[in-house]
Amino acid sequence: MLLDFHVVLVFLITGTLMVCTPLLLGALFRPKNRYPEKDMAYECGMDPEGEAQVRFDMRFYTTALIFIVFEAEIVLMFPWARVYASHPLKGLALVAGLIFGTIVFFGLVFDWAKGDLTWVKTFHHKRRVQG
Amino acid sequence: MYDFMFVIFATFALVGGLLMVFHPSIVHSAFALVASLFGVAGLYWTLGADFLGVTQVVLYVSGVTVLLLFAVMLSDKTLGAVSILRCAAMGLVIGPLAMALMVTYRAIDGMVGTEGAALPDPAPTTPAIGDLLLQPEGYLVPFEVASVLLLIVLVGAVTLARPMADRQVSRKTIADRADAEARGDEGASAPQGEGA
Repeated sequence: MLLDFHVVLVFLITGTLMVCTPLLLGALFRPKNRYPEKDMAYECGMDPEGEAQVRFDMRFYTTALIFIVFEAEIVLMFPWARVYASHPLKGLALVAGLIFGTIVFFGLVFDWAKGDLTWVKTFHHKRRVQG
Repeated sequence: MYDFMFVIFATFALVGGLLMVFHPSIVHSAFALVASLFGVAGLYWTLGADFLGVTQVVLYVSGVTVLLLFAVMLSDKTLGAVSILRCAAMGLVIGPLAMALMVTYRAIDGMVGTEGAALPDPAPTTPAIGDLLLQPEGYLVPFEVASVLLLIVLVGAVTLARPMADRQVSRKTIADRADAEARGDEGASAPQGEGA
């Protein structure tokens, strides 16, 4: 089986080389004169203000959580997709896959309706609850 | 060939794990964890579990690490460095315990005299898993139940990740509404403005 992963290995090595070679060449050929201004964060030529390590918005995390759940869905759908074309009970396979996808999709609909996907929070959903 | 690949992947897993534990920067630790998890995925491949290996890469190497990095970005940077000495002390306790567990297992195994299963033939496992997932007498029901589990995770995780202020407001809203209904007066629950 490792056999089949040769392609992955070649991709991995090529990708690593494509990142590392320019960095290495740059390190060999660029002139080295450092001064403090060079170590400043670059903000379009302005002097940067405040700290660089700010706390990020919680909504990034929410989006990442949704991403992971759908990644898990894809992992489970992959064997299904692999055998679907050659499956003897194609109708059953189709219905099984559709039910699976729909149930998880309801989660996305829920999050959407609850306003967890809106970046700029409106409070429409709350007003609706308050009636 | 297999032994050679085992050494490569095991090195990835071990060196990545050591770097993760001992690197002072938590972001570097997260990237070391990527190497370690990738090494474990490679070990799965050498054991003939290709689907498990790909799952490891897709879910752990990419997904969980993204979540971990987000957690770092969201957390307070004034949290302070983790004491490596404390980690090492914990390792000194947990390591021998795990070792003892393994030795005990080997001893019991030797007494019972079971033999481990031989490595399966190196063949792709994904179609076999797909067939099992789609057999009504196989794992069709667990497959569908897994989607319900994912739904619960999707709703629950996002609800928990919602800022605390939001959750309190909505709880308060629900309580107010219940009060108003108990009094039989819908008009009493006047909108409380935009809230925050």
